Amino acid sequence: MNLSLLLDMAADGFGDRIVLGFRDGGTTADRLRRRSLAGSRILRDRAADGLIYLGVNSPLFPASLFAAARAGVPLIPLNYRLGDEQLRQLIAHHPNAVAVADDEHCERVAAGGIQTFSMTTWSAALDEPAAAMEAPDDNRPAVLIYTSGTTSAPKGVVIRHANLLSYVFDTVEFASAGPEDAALISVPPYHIAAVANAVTNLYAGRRSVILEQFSGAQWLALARRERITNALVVPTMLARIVNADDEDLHVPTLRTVAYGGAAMPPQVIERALRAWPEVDFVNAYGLTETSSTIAVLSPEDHRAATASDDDIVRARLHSAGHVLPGVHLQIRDDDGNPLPHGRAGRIWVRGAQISGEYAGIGSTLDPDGYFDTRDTGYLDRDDYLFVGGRADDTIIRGGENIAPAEIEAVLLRHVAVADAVVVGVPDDEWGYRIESAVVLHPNATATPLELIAYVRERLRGSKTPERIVVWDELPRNDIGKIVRREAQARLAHERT
Amino acid sequence: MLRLRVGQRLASATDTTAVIVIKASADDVSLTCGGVAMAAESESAGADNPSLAPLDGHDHGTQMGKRYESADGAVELLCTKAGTASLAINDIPMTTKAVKALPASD
Repeated sequence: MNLSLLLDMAADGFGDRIVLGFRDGGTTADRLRRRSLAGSRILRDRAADGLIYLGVNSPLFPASLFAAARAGVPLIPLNYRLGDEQLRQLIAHHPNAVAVADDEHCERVAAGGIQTFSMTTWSAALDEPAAAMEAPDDNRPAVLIYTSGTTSAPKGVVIRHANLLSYVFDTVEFASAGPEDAALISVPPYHIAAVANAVTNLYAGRRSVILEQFSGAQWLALARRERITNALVVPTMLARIVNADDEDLHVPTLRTVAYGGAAMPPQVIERALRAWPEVDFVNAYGLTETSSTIAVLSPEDHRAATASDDDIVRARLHSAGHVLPGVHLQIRDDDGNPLPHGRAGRIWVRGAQISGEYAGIGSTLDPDGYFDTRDTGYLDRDDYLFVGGRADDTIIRGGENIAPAEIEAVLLRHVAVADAVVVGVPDDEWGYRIESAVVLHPNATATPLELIAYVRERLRGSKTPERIVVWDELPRNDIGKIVRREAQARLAHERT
Repeated sequence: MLRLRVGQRLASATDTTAVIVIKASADDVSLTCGGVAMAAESESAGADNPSLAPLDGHDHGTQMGKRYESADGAVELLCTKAGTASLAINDIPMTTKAVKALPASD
């Protein structure tokens, strides 16, 4: 199977519908097919074995994704914020690829000896007529996404056509979107959600509007102008939208806001729920290796949690909800044994959309087909999934395993705390000692000693940070994930 | 009789219906559209050029983008081109399968 099937169906089923861009002058499904076909021709004529995409998200992203798909080569979206050296190392893995790059990044790719199109020349080339072309059917890699490397060196995650197609077929009804539906896409193109969004919105027949560079005010302005009904944001974006210096956050057409990509601070989602009582919120949990979403907390779950007097039900507002029908999930201990409900362990998942495959490494699925997400978590009595943090972030203090997420959750409940990170800092006596950095709300005050006492009242002493410092902001990558290595290095450095 | 494989594309001989196999069983099956065996899309006369008409009782139509499953759930097809005939496995009509759609979550 090949992703181009989705585009062919869209063009056959609703070819005249605008599926990409603004209400005026956007791209129809038919035109998207013609443009991606022209792109496939270029890739095949040049015997490219991959298509590198280096730039902001734009209408050229879906066209490039489908051009690569029909040519039978993976799309390789790279992070344009990477430093020259890091970028050079990634590009060196793909000497026979063709690249498309934003004007200011062309030189950086071309320096690696790669045939490079600027976005402008690529866009013009896609308007050239091209003869029809059969898409290869042998389940090749559709996308290669390098992990953000917040905990280790970047790894290339291989996502095959069948992974993405099974996700689409299991979760989206073809042509189910109404003619007024429009999704606002503000995630960068090297994030799995951008890939998933491009294919699911097209298959549903929902117009995608792309915000190239995010700011809260621009998001609101574009949402109003383009009559956006659906949106996907990462938590830092939602925080900026609900904190935007905008008299009212009114977006009359907005129906659904999905969030994911990083842990959502409780205060942010609670504020958003108050700001937009009419909007359906969806928490989507997934990884690059799982072809995006594997569990969702539905709008009904959000409302039930908010309205309930039962602590167990209320807590679900901060859960990832239920796994998708096509996904099987197990919580396992460190030795791989399944754990019962309520016990925290490592999250393992199985299903047709799960890739678990890395370039140069191969499949990492276990003999039963399960993938180790390296996230910790547990299931409550009704199978709601609670995600802790990365197993790799676990702090080993004096032989005890301590999850930073648990301590961060307590700190984020403090009325003065806007953001918090907890890390292990090397220590002669304990191996690692627990330290924390927090960001306070504007005009809020709290002393480190107060915060330490606050944690100690709620968690036992061994889980209480020895030191808490106040910073202006935490090191986060552009998806909004905390870069723990940086926080740890800065804490260790400030100490000495 | 036909051994289906995932990703295989098949076309109807009686109408414009075309399908792709989403889930296949290990057994050989008789897959018909309009009561007549379906064939590989490339081998058929072409889905846009049907040569026969659907048989009586095999003419309820197919809908583009719908998934059709066999009575035992072992075979699943995605309709990529709609038509006037209907699909059956081993003479038992296939039924549409509802997608538990996500609320546009990714």
